[in-house]
Amino acid sequence: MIELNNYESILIVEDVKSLRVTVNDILKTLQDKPIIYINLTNTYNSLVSNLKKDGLKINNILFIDCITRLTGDSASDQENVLFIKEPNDLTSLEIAISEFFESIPGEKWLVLYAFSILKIYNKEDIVLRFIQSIFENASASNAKIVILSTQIKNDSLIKKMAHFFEKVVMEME
Amino acid sequence: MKTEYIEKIKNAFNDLPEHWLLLFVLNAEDYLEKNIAILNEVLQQDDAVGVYVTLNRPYSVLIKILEKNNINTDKLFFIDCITKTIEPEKEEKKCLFLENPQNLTNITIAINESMSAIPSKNKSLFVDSMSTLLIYNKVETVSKFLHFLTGEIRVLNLNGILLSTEKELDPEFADQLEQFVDKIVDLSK
Repeated sequence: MIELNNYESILIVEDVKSLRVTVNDILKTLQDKPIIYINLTNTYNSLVSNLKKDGLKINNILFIDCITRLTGDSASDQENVLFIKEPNDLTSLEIAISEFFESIPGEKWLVLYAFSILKIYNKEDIVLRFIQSIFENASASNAKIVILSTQIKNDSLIKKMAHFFEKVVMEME
Repeated sequence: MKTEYIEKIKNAFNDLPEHWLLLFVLNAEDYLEKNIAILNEVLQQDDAVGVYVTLNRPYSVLIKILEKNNINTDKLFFIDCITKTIEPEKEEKKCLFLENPQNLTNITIAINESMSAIPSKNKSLFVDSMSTLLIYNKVETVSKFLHFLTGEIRVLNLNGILLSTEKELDPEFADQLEQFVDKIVDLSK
């Protein structure tokens, strides 16, 4: 397990099975700190139920859900969750992240899981610009970043963005 | 050999969230046999019901095969995406016939409406199969569709069983698909 506190930004690229374990380990390690958690493969309700089942405290987690509203469900924002209409609405996602960054004083963590899903909905250069802007926001708000992605064959995006990160863990086949 | 894969199917349902999504990877050679074993496992609970989206076999053929193999088809509602390409006027009580496997929006609407009409709390969606969707649609389109569909399965508190044949999957698509489900069960070996 990486010493999370030693880095400002971490990119982790692993196979799906390992990634699921890693994200839970990260959330467990950071559970006493404020976390903004974006999971691009699961809905807020399902996530909360799974995290509780795994014995994780969720009091300090603010969720950004990019799936529930995509399915047509009219879920309303709550104190600890913001719903984005779809994963190609990177502007709304960026605004939601900034709002959370601003609302939490002091050190906080942004954990983005299943990053490669963004590539299904957006062009590579748009995703790159989005990541760049998240980094700018994070440095101004004392936020640390962990992005987790699966190994996607012939993926050039990961290579193009890897240099943004202080620590890159790439367990490619 | 049979007991080996039956055991693997039974184990697949261990250690899952309350509502789950599984991807079964099958061989073309014994696809049907294993598909039936999966259906049998899912439907054996008393309150289990499901919607079966068939992209490979017409409803009229599929229902005969399932009944021959003692699957209780009264527990299933079917969405057939093949028959109407040959028989435009086809109608059945237990099946909805869609125009073709290219119209992913219609498939989504049909799934949503069928699921809403079923009162049980233990509802599963079977999609047979992912590989066929890729014959009719671009990889990017199917990826978006599946991201949407798996999201919907979670929002509606359903269980999902996606079937696929390994060889026909585009590698990039296979990597994406892996992320949408809770577990991948490889029955191809």
